[in-house]
Amino acid sequence: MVATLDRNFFTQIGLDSGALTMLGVIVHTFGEASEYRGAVISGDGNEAIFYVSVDPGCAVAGVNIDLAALAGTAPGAAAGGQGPRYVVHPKGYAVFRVAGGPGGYAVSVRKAVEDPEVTAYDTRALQPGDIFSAILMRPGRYSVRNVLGDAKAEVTVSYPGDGKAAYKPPAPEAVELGETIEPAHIRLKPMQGMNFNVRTAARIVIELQEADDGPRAREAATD
Amino acid sequence: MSDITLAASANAFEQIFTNIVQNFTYSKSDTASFGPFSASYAIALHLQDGTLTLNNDNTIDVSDLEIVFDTLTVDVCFTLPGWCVGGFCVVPDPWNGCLVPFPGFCIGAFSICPTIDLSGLVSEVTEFDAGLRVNYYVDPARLPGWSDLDAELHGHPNKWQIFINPTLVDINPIDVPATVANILENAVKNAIDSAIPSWVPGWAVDLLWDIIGPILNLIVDLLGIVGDIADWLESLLDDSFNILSFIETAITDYFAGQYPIYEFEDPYPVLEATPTLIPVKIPIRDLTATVDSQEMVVLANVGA
Repeated sequence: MVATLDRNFFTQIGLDSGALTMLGVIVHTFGEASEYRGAVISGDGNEAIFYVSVDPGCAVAGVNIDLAALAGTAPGAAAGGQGPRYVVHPKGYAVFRVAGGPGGYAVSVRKAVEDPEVTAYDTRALQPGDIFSAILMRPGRYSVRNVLGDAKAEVTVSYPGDGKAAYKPPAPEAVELGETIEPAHIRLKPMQGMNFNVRTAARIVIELQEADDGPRAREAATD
Repeated sequence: MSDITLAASANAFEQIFTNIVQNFTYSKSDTASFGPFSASYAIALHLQDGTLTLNNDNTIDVSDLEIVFDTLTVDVCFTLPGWCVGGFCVVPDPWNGCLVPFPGFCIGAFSICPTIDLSGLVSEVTEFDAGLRVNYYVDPARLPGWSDLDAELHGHPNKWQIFINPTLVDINPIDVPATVANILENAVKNAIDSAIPSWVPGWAVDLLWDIIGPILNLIVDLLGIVGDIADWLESLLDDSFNILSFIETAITDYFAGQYPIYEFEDPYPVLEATPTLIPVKIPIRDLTATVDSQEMVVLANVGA
């Protein structure tokens, strides 16, 4: 009798939009109709290939691209042109997410017929119009930085309640990321989401600065 | 006028009754499915106390007879459905829907079987009305060709037996204490606790408990309990498992057929055997047993 808990929920504390995990999602709109060839880049440098047909004739408003599933495909087979193909409308949304596992993926997408050395889009440098959506599990105080700029903010995640009512996270916090991050001080409940609306080139890194281990730990510290 | 008359005073009769009560034990277990959950129980019990009254109308009343549950455990098995939380909308659509959702996280479903231990509970036999029953016992080990003497020599004589014959046994419903809600709550908490892997950090355990919420509410919802948990468990034991009926039947069968208050051989030995003579035995016929408020009286004739 074992609960099916994914260890990665509880062991991955921070987030990096350039190294996506289960706790983050990137939403991108291609805008221009074309055939695109993408690569999922793992932390170990391996690549898995996929294709995106951005087709004004299709009605698909959003397509989920699970990077964990793609990274599990054989790199050789993917490089031979056998990678999966996704279809989305030019104004639709490509949603890059990690359904399971340790993650740490970046995505590089370019037009299939263009010079393969020219990167059209790379999640390590988010573009204006992108959305980076994130969840923080561990209670504590975090720093938020755009490592491609100077914008900074602070996030505080409160400790879970006492279980007197079944907890449901509140609605996500909307955050504007341009030259600055607004709001600069973000207060969240555990598992409450944040939607970063990206207005400038960005790689968002969220790091734990001070852990909150709850009332028991605080009492123990004062004893 | 009968050939033989025996009598036992009310005090002597009560002593015999006490011995019978002290020798009674009963145990049973069972399991069954009830839709959203399955349950099993195990009981082991004995009787204690009891006051005997002999009546002039040839009946016996027993009062203050108690049932002590040395073991009374109930396992309630059910599946926790799993919890999905944390999903939210990243890109809403113009019709108040959601074009791009952030998926929630799910804690997988798993089954638990918390044990409710009510051992030590005492219930009461509220009605115990009886008379006497005379039984002629032919030992099944006696071979057809044997004479009475052969049967005695082989240790399988026929017997006259007198039993207390209950005509009504009624016992109180098992009085499940109100604290059973706490017992069940703690049992479920312990079962969930043991299902959470040891590597899960303390803050995450607190978060999981916060997501699960009040355990009693969860139990009531999952098991479909309407009303009080003590009443629900009482109904499960008394009505669904029919435990009271089994116990009443066991008590009735025990007094009426398993433990005679008095028995003697037939033919009855009058003179023991000697090296030169066979034993002298007289056949007993037409045996009856009655009570009045003073004594038990046994009448019989000497047969041919």
